[in-house]
Amino acid sequence: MGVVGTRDLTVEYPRVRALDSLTVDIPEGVTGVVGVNGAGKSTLIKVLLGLLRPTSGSVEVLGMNPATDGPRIRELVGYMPEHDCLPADVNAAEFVMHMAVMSGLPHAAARERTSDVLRHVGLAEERHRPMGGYSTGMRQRAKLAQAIVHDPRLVLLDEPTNGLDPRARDEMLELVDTIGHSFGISVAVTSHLLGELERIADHVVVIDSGRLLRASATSDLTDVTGDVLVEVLGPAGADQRLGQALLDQGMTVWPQGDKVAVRVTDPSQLDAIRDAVVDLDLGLVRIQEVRHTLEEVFTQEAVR
Amino acid sequence: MTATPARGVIHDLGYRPFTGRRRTPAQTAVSLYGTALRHCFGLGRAGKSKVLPWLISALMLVPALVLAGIIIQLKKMSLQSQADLFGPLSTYFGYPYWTQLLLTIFVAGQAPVLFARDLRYRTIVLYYARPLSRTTLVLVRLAALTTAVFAIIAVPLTIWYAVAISSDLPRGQHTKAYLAALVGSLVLALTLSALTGMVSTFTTRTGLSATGVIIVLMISSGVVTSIQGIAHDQGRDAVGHVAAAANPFSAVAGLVSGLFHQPLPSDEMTRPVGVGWNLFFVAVCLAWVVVPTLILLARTRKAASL
Repeated sequence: MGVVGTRDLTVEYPRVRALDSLTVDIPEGVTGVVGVNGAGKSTLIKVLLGLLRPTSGSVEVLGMNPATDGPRIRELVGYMPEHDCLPADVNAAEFVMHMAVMSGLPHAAARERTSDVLRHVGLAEERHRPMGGYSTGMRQRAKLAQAIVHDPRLVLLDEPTNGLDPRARDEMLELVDTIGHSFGISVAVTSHLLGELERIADHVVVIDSGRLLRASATSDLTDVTGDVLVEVLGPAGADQRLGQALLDQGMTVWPQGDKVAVRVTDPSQLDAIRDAVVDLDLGLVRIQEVRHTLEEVFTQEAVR
Repeated sequence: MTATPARGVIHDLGYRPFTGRRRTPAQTAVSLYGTALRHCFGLGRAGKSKVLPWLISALMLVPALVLAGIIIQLKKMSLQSQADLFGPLSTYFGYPYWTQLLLTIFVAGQAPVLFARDLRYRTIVLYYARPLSRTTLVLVRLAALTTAVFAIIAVPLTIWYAVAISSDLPRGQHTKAYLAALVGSLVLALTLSALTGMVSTFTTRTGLSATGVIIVLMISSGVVTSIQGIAHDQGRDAVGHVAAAANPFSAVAGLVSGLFHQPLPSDEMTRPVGVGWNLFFVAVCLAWVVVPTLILLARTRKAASL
C-alpha cells in the first residue's frame, strides 16, 4: 500500500489546467518526483496537504482523503518548501520547537524531539543563533528539521539541494537517504538534478504538464543497456587495435575515451571479446556493463 | 535501495519516533493563542521588542494611579466632581478615548509582529502545512491581539474602579459606568486589532505599516473631532454622529454612550438618542470589525501560495 495515490486527479485554475487526470502512486521509501517548473508539482503538494480541492478525481494520502481529513493528514505529513521560509530573528531551536507544537506535539515532547532532530540534521552547535545569520546549507537543514520534527509518516521535500555547494549537497542527500531508509519516514523529493535522485530514490515519478509521464523503480530505469565497456592494458593504440579486431568479427564497436564500447546481443560475444584480447596479447583490465543514467532515460522520453 | 525497514528497528540509529498522543487542533490553537499573546508584549522575542509594549502598558496606568491617589486622599469624590476636576474623564470610557495615541502606537507596533512577519519571511506556508486551518490561524492571532489591547485598557480601569468602590462613592453609578466602559473597550480592542492587522498585511515592512496605522487613525480622529466641533456649534447632532463613524474611537464612544446612557468623553460630542442611532452605531462598529477581518483573511490566504 503506497503512501499517496491519485486517480484521474484534475485541478483547473480559471485559465490553466495544472493537473490533468493524473494517476500516480507514491510507494513507501524514497520517491523522486521529477518535472520542470510549471509541471504541476506545487499544485500536487497543495492537493496532498488538503489546501486545494481538486476539480475532479480522487486522492488518498496515508489512506485518508485530504478533502475531509486535511488536519489529520497535515499532522502526519511534513513539508519542506523550496523557497526560503525562516524568520531571521529567531533561533533554530525556538523555531523548530514552535513548529513542533503547531503540529500538535505536547510541549515536553516538542522540546525533546527538537533537540533530537536538530542533532540528526547536524545543527547542534548553531541552534541558539538567529537564523538570519545562517549559511544556505544551515538554512536547508533547519527547514528539513521543521519538516520532520513532528515525526511524520510522509515528508514532502521540494528541491532540498537547491543552492547548495557540492559538499553540502552530498550531505543533504545523505540526510534524505537516512530519513527515508533508516528513520522509516516515507519521502517524496523533487529535484531537477536527475543524478541526485538516482542516488537516493527507490522510485521515480515523472510529471509533465500535469500528467504522469512515467513511474517506475529507479533500478528499472537505470537497467543494463546491453553494452559493455572493455578496458585493456598494452602499448599505445592497444584499444584501437582491439576495436579493429572486434569490428572485423562483425560486432558493433565504438571508442569511448581510451576504452572500447561493444554492443553485446549474445553472451557468446563476451567470450569472443576475451579471445580477441588474448590473441592481441593485451592485458584485460575489465569488462563492465554499462547502465543507463536517468538523464539518458529522460532524454529518450522527451524525443519520443 | 533496499526495502524500507520497519519503523521498529530504528532505535539502533538514534531516531526515536513519537509514540505519545497528538493534541487536538483546539489545543494547538490554545498554544498559538498563548504564544501570540506573549509576543504582543515582547515575551519570547528580542530584548528591545519588550520596551515599547511595556512602556505603553506602564504609561496607561499613570492616569488611573493618579486618580486613585486623589480619590484615596479626598475619600469622597463623585463621578461628577471627578469630571469637574479632570474634565475629559467624566466617564470610564473617556479613559481609552483620551489615551488613544498610546493605544494606537501599541497596536500599530504589535500587529505586524503577528500578521506581517510570517508573510515577510514566508513562514506562513509552514503554518499552512500544519493542522490548524488558515482561518483559525488568523482568527486566533486576532483574538490574542485583541486580548492584549483590552488588557492594557482594562487593567487601569479596574484599578480606578476598585479604588472608587472601596471609597464611599455611589457604587451603582460607578459599576454601571465601569461595565459599560469594559464592553466599549472590548469592541474598541476588536476594531483596532482587525484594522491594524489588515493594514500590516498590505506592507510587510513593520515600520511602514506602523507609521501608516498611526497616521490614518490620528488624522481621521482629528478630522472627526473638528467636524463634531462644527456640528456641535451649529446644533446639528446628526452630522456629528455620522462623522463619528469615520474613526473607531469616536464610533465606539457613540456606541457606548447611546447603548448605556453614558456621558461622552468630549463636550463636543452629543449623545445619540433613539433606537435608530443606536442601531447605526452598532452597525458601524460591526463594520469596523468585520470588514478589516475579512480583508485580513483574504490577504493572508492570498499572500501564501506555496
